[in-house]
Amino acid sequence: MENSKYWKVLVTALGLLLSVLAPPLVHAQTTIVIKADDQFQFAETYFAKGEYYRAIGEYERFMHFFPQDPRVAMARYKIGLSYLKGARFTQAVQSFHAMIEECEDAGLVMKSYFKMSESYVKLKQFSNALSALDGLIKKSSDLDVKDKAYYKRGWIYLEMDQWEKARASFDSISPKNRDTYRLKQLSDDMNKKESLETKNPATAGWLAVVPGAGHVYCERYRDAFIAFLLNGAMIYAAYEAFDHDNEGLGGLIAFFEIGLYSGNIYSAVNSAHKYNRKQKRDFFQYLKDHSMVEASVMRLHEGQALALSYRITF
Amino acid sequence: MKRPAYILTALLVLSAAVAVAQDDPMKGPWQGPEATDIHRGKAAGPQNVPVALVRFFRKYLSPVDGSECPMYPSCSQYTMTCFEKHGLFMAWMMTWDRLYRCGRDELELSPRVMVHGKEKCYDPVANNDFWWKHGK
Repeated sequence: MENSKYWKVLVTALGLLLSVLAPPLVHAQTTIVIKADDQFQFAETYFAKGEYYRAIGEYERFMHFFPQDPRVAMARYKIGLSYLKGARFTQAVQSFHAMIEECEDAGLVMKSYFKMSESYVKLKQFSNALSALDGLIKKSSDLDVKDKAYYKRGWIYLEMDQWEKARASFDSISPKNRDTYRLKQLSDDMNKKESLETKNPATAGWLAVVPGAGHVYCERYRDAFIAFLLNGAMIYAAYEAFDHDNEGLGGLIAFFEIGLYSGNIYSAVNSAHKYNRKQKRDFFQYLKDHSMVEASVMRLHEGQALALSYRITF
Repeated sequence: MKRPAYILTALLVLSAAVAVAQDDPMKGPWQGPEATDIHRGKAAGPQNVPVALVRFFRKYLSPVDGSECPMYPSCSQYTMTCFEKHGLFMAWMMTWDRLYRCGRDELELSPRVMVHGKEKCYDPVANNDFWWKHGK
């Protein structure tokens, strides 16, 4: 009985002690004040490290707490870039579209047009990518910006395998920037396309009447061997089955052989198309590696300047 | 006499491996990057029967047949997609086309992808119907 009284007193005393000590303890915590510079820098650090998900969160925090800061537009642009670099292309398009609609910084709007077009290319929505660049060409009065848009548009047409339109777009670049974009070399390289070796799909299909021959034409020798072997075996098996009056088995084998045989023809034609596509893609990659100039219009305090870099592949 | 039937059975017994594995450049707790070429169709009509057969194969035979398809998507997945996307006739031809190519020249011609830590040959349906389905 006396023991429980003792505990009650002890608990009450401890409670009182804590209630007296707690406020000073709370006040003893360090108060952190985050300035706009620190917050923006923090977001930039994540962006530079490639931590795009976190970068977006920090840019948004910056915009929330410092809505009057002049870097808010840049933060919004960086959010779009984070989506693009993080391979979230749909969100990137939405982000850049919002920038174009609402941002007052002409330089960032111009960059957003290019990045929106790039995002559409990543999404394989080439017509939208072209529309974005057309919108920029219409809107901008700066010759360097227009030329860069024509140049990018030309490369999108090349990716779409529309070479004449690509040439027309490259030809729209003003004489002033033709040398900087190395258009002469690009044109010479584009002419090499005529000498690309291709396979005729119709020829491949007709050759495949003899199973495997179409594959040989498309330089797929192992596929050709298996096509010849399987079709030969199945035709022979069907013949044997019918010859021994086993119509049921013969019919079943013939049913599968029809699939095998038509598949052999499809495969040969498909192989020819894939061969041609690979040739075109390889050539396009060659063009990109040897003739593409990375152009970026950088905003300077005095105005704008065209910055160019040229990729050299060893 | 029975050999062709064995060959046929061997052809139909395909390995299957379905997986999605991609590095996420976003480095966030989101799902993988947007897929631009994955077809999500629904089987309807007579192609339901072969699709059901392939599903049966994938569920009961593939786990115990001991081999693994070197392609991605696997031949069984590829076949199901063909039936869902193109119907009976074209899918039938495309399936045989894939079986000719599986594990042979295609391995050297198509790009490689990592699927569950294993290197596979990337050969989706979209890479084999582009010339008549979507235009050149």
